[in-house]
Amino acid sequence: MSLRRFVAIVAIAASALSGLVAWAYPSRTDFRPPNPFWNGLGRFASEWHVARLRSLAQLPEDPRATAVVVIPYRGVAQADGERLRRYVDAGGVLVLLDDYGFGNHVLDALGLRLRLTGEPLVDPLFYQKNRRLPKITDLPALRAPSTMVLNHATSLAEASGATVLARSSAYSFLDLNGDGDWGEDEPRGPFPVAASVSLGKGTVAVIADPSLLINGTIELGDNRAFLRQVVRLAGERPQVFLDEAHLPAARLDVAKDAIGVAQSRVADPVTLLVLVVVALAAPVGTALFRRRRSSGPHA
Amino acid sequence: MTRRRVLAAGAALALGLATASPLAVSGGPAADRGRLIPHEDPAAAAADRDASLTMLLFQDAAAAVRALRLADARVLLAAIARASVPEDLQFLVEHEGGAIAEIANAIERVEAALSEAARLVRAGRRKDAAAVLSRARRLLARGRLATEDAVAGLRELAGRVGIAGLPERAPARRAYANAQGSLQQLLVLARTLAAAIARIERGDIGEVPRLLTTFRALVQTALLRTTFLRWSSPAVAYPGLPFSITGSVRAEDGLPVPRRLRVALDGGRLENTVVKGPFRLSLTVPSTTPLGPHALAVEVEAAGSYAGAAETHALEVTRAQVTVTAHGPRLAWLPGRMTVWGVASSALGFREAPTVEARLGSAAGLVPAAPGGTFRTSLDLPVSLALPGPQTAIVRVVPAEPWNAPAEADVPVFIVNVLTPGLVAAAVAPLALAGYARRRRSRWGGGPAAVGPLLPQAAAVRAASSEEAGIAVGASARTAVLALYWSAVRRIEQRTGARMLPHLTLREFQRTASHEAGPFADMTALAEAALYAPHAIGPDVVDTMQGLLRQVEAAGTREPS
Repeated sequence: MSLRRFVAIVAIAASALSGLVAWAYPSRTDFRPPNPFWNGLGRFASEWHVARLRSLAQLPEDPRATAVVVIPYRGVAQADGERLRRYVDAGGVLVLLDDYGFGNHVLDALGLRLRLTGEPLVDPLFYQKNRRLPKITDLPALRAPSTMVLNHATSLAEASGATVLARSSAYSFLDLNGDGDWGEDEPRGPFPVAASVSLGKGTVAVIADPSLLINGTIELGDNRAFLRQVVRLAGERPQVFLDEAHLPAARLDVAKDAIGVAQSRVADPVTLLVLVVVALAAPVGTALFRRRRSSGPHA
Repeated sequence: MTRRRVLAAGAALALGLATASPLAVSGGPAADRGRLIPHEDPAAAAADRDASLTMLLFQDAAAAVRALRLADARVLLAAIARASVPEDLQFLVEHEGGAIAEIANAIERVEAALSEAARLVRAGRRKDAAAVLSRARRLLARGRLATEDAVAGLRELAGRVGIAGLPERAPARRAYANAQGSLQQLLVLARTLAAAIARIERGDIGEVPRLLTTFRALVQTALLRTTFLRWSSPAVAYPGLPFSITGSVRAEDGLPVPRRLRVALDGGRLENTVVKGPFRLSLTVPSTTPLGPHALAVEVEAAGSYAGAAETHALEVTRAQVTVTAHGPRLAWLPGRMTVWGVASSALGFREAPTVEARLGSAAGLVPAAPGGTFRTSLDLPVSLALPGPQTAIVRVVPAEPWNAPAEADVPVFIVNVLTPGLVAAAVAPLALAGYARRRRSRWGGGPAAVGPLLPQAAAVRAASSEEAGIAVGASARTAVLALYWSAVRRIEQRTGARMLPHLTLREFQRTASHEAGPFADMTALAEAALYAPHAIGPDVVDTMQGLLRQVEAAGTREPS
């Protein structure tokens, strides 16, 4: 075997194996649908049959009976902000979940006064396991008694013109200095943690904790029921989209996405037919070429 | 073979790296990457063991019962049941909540019983009223027992959660103290009511309606709670510019009740709002407020069983200093144009462009400054006799905002009035011309001349003539006469010692140096004629002078000095 052929075979094998590993190895990145661990969105994505958007340019043209979930942990470009605005104006439901990311940029692009404070919400009396997992019992959207559990959430501000969907307890506070204990200078609750605002023909629902959707938190309390109520703002059985363009992404996720794109292209019937023809024709062609070479000038 | 082995090893290495790279760059769990995304696995989360803050709930519940806000108390007691408490403390917490609920029920039932008894008294059924009053007394006793139970239970709970080990100002410790305080006051209330009921039972059952009427007032009077007001404000404020005050309103029971809050400046209202606990208010001092010290007062209105509170701070109202830097030329001409430029700035900035006025005498220029505070204006300096010399142009900046103070800057300039040299020249020129003309005439023999200037002419003539007073060739008759006279003066000076001083006239010298009559006197007369006579001197006068000179020289020893 020639050296060139040997290297080519090894390179192809390495690439194929690498692709296989990248495809099979589970993602551990936060808020990724393929991530089956506690910080992924696997359960949310499968239960709600979420369609994944690699770009907001893929938003449906007719947004009625649809809801798009945005977790802006990466900067939101002006063009994307305008796309979301058009989407909501035309009747779509935007579910914006954020705590310490770029949620306020989105709210600004939508022209809303509602804001995320970005300060940690702590409840020393009503919590699940520890005070940074506060329990929310003031849930006008749900039948009492209901409990929602948050995970290192923040709170909303300037919610006077919005419909409050959930409010923390009067003993919660914003832990400005991060020590977990209430100081006299730290604002005390109750604070709105979820609210909705009508915009154009659509609605914007803002939840001050994207961790509500992760596998480890969605199971707690009545979180599922609350999410269901929020998504129902778009109708009884809306199509739910998840914006992946603004989620944190590791290289493994980029590789998985690329493999997914390739896979979807290969799955196309026309492309598949071409590949099959090439795969069948290549050995025949090679054999004919060799035969011609060996019979050569002596014929 | 060696080459193949190397290739195989390299291929295996590449294969391994290619396989491992996705795993290496995928990253570990979110927690391994730090707090980029702050959340944790609820299943693995560390559990909080600190139950001391349950005292906050008991503080609020007890305070609500004390304030007779029984519905609020029941909501809080229901919340206690949902509070996150370590398992080993759950029984204590539930028991304490139950005790406080029992107190609330007892108060409600006692009030209901008193109402029933009062109704029966008014209906004339005094015996039935007495029975109901007795039931009210028993309910009150049960309430008192429940209160004592609550006091003990709270003490037990405090011991279990380590309240005593907390700092004195820790919220949990203060909440515990407040809760015990509320329970103690409820015991006082129970004793007060029990005593009142006992008096009625011993006395007149007809007093029951009055007791019912005063029931709530009795409770509130016994249970008036102090309100704590704490707030801070800046020491300085500016007219028209908003400033903030922050603070908190807290009742001694710690219950977060909405309270009306008023803010006044020297009695004038700035704000009237409702706050609940911590507050932050934006206030604006009216633009017309005089500068200087003022009193800023915050008052919390009394509400129900909560006392009011008030506090006053000093507030200095001042204006921000505006700095003006102005420049101008060192020299300016009248009439002409003088440009002044510069920049104005304020520590608080300008929201609108300030107006800049430059003035020098009667000349003035008014312009708005540019957005950056720069300005440039020109002064048209008129023709004026009042302005020449060192002057000062005044630049005044008047801000549009009431919180910025006007400011001035001086621009020194030396004004040169073109008229002034002209006037001076016009005044001096005729004199100069006259002087020049006179000098010219005396040099060439025209017109009368003073003795002083004559002598230099005589001396010049003498210098131009011979030692023997000879007449210079081409000299005029007048010049010759004067030269001969000068020669005679020399002879007389040598002979008599008298000097022809500049202030002496010819006649005076003649009198000083010689007798009235004589040839020198004649020469003096002829010289005077040569000097002052309007007509020209003829050659015969020259001849006469020569003859007289010979006589003077000849009579030198004979004429007395």
